[in-house]
Amino acid sequence: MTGPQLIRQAVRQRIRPCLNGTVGGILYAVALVAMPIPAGRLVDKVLVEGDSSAIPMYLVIFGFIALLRGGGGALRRYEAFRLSLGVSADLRERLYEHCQRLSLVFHDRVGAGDLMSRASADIAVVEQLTDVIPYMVQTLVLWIAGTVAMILIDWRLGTAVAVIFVPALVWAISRGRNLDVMSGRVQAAMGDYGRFVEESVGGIRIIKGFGLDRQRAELAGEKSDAVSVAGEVLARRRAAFVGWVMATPAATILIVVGFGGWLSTRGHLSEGDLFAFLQYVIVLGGPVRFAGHNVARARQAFAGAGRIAEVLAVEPAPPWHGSRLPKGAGRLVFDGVSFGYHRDNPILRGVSFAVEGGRSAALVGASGVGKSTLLQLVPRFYEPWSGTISLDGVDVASIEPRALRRAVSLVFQDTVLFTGSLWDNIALGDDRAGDDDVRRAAEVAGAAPFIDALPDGYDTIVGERGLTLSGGQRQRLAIARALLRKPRVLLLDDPMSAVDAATQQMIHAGLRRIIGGTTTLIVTNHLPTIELVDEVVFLADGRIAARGPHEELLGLERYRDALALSAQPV
Amino acid sequence: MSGRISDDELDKPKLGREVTRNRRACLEIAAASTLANGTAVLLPFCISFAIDRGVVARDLRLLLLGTGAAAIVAIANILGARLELGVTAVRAQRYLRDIRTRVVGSIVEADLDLFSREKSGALFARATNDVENLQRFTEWALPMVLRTIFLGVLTLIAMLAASIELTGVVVVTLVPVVIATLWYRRVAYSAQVSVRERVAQLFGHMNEHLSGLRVVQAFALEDERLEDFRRLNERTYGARMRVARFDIAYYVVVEILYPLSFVITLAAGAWLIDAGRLSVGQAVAFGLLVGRLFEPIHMVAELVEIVQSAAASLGRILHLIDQTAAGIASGGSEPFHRGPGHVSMEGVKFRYVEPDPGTGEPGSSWVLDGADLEIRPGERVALVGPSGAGKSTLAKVLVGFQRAAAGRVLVDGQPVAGLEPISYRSAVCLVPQEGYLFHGSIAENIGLARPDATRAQIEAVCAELGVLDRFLALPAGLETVVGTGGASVSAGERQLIALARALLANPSVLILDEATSNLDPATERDMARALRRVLEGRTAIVIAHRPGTVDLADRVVTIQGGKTVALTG
Repeated sequence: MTGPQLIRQAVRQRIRPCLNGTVGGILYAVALVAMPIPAGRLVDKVLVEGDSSAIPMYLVIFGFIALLRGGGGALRRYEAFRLSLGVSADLRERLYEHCQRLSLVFHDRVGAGDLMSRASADIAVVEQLTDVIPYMVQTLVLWIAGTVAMILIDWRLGTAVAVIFVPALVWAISRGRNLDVMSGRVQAAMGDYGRFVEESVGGIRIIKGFGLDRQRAELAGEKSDAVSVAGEVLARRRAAFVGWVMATPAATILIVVGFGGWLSTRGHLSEGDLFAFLQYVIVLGGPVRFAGHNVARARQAFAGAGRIAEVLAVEPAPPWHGSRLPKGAGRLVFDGVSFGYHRDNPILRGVSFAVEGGRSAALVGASGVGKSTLLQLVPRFYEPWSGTISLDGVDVASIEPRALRRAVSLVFQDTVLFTGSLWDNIALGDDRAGDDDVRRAAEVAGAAPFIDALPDGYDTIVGERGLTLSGGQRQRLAIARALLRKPRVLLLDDPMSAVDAATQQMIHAGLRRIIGGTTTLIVTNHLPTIELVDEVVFLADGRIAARGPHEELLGLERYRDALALSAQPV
Repeated sequence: MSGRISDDELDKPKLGREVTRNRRACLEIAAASTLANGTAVLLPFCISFAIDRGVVARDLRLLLLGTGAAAIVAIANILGARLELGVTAVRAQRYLRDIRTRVVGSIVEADLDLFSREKSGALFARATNDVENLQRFTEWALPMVLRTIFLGVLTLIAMLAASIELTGVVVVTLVPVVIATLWYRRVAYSAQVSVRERVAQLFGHMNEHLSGLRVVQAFALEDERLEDFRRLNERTYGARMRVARFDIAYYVVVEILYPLSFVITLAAGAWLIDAGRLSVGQAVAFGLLVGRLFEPIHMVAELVEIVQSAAASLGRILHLIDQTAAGIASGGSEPFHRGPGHVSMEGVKFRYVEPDPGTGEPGSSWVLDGADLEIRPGERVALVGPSGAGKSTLAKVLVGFQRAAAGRVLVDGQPVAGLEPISYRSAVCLVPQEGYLFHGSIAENIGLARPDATRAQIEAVCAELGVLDRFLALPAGLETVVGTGGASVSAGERQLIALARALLANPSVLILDEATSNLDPATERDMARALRRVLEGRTAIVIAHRPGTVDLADRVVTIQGGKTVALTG
């Protein structure tokens, strides 16, 4: 789908306000074109001829025009709001819903910041365009009807005005459109500056730590300069453009006063007609200034919509269908699994092993060997290049992903907390979870002691604007969150990293209780954790280098080396 | 909370200060605006002259004269408008540049307290969104506001010069517009505040759930989070439509009033012509002037929003600049004289929140409660203790990121509190757990520590740490671009870069705060060996809970309950 197609589709969904707004715009244009005619008559009859008896009639006529103007204008404006705000809300929801379903392969590549800018800046330009659709129709009607009206009043003066007006209009539109080529440079400079600010805030401790504050502040001046220099060039060009655009109404006014005045002295044109012409050229000239701008806006909106369509075009993976979850105790089998993030860089090369239901295994190996990757293949965050992973005898690739993910809980290495209470963060929207369930999960995960010590306990708010938790506290919350779901398979990605010894012991005590009943696969190089599990799968170079109980593997020098055990007494 | 809002407000003294700061720019803009709008008001008079003396009196010469004068005024008007827009835009760009530099400068030079007080997103918004708001104002609204003011005042003067009575009539017809404008300003403000709150909530939700999408997917939360999103999206739409309805109400008043004001003015004009107090040309000119008066009024609804939001943004920006200026002033100014690296802490107390005597708010509990630490030059000390015991805090106090509330902190006999931070921190260096990467190559990220470092020096440091081969094995070697939008590197690799960076700075005191925690055991062991070598002759504090790293130390110091207990190594 292209940008214009997406906009058309979005507008079609809100066709009602679009049509109503267009009708309002046409009514408004009619009011604008109609007004100079009675205004001219008023000048002739009342001012020049001094016939004040006609005044009440004109009051009625102008009252009617006022209603048409107010009614049509309000209708256009209100419906334009409904249209544009509706379109932006629709697009935002569509984008959000689609992003939710896209695989982590996509999200690893694109990143939340990029998606946020599409959801805000790109949707904003589409919103701005749809906002002016009824206005653009109104302007078009105004220009055509106004020109016809002028020619009807006096064909000589009307034609003279049109001869100036039409080419000037074409020029203004084409010129105004080109102005925005320039703003690409401003955008680029702004982007560069934005990233600079982001890094200055994010990396402030590095900046301070190396005493780079002053240098960084000077660099800020340079980045800011780049934005302003590009902005100044654009501003000068825009000023020149507006100057020329203003020349159009000015030239037409002079034609009306000069040529029209001459026609009038010859008696071909009344003073009132002359006045009507003056009003026409002012009314018609007004929107010229915005015409080029609106064409440029349309172009920006097409590009913005294109960037949204780009995301919408990405196929959700895995698709949201598949078979139901098989019954079983959680037997997990990896059969010849190969995978890599980049086509030419395989990480896992044919990994095969099985964990029986209720048993536990540890994945051990150097960093980068693909331990975490292997875990993430189980709930289908990524699809293996070849080979299969099966749960209780059924290939996970054929199981409906959401059912699969309810049965398989993965605890990531770094914990994401959502704004909300600790309770919410453990329950994560599980309506069936009662107070006891949440407390028990927190208990087993070793999170209960620190939560109970907080003044607000489980109601403590965490997240962006809430309390900051330590790495170990977050880790324990993540484990509690996973346990609450009573998963058939529990996958833990290095739960002991970034946790001090005391916390490790607490998590350890919890793990000891879990490992008894749930199929558990733990990525770890942490010795006490390894000693806890039934079996160790030792990965090296993308393959299983050895597997078996820890005590057996200790005989391998390579294994001891990976765990840095040779330097210490075993 | 209410106290904070009023702090951010753009009050008169703040605005006055900004105007005085940019006095020249303000004068230039005012002059250009006067020229542009002054000529715009003159034009109807030339036209009225041409019609009165030329058309009505059937005098071709005077018609030509009037038209000629109108042409000259029109050209002057175009040139004036061009000048006005140019001057305003260029001056505004320079002001924005100045503001951006001041904001970012004040952020990077601020006390680190600022970063524990304010969310990084808020600081980012000050330097980006708020400045963009100002830009929108200067680009769009400022010329329009000036136009409204000038046209309003000059048109009224022109009207008064032509006919006091008729001006009175016009002014009376304008009364409803004035009332509507005042009403709109009031109601629109609160409605817009609620729009901003809801938009912030919506985008907050979106950002949080897109960054944490793996958890949403892992727990199959898509449907209910979509429900939450729909609700927020719907509420945002509702709030924006509420503003739209106020806007429409205002708009209708203005639209309806223009034709009425026009017909009433001309009817009154007819009566004045009858009475011989007005010419036909003057009445016609009045008709045009009424149009002139209404033209900017149309824009008020849009302008009110932009002006109010720009004022709020400027208020927030200036508040931040003022706030951090105070922080910078309190920093020390004594240059640090580099010595052998003798560290001495005595009875150091620190807590993150000091009690507020104003509000009676009690402070947080002491994180460091009389901590002592004495490290001889060249000695390596391991700092251990349970999480939350204050290990990292002690490190932050030592490098001067946090200021001790009581006690003495000396490095090479010089009190840290009084030291000028830049010279001090090049000698005393902290490597935190999370290695932060800036957008750029790995070499640039390492070289950050010493802008004058050569490529050979950077490679030498990597080689010394035994990580050079590892970096060279990456697709583009040391030129591999990392950070935002760059290649993804593991947490362990980030730590390796951070270690190399710190070593390049060649500090006499090096503090490693869990700086090798993300390395796998084999790499960590190799790194421990390398560190043993490179730490030779430097004073070092190692915070870690893994035995391999603690082994680096000559001596172990335990910190517990905010106090230190020295153990032998």
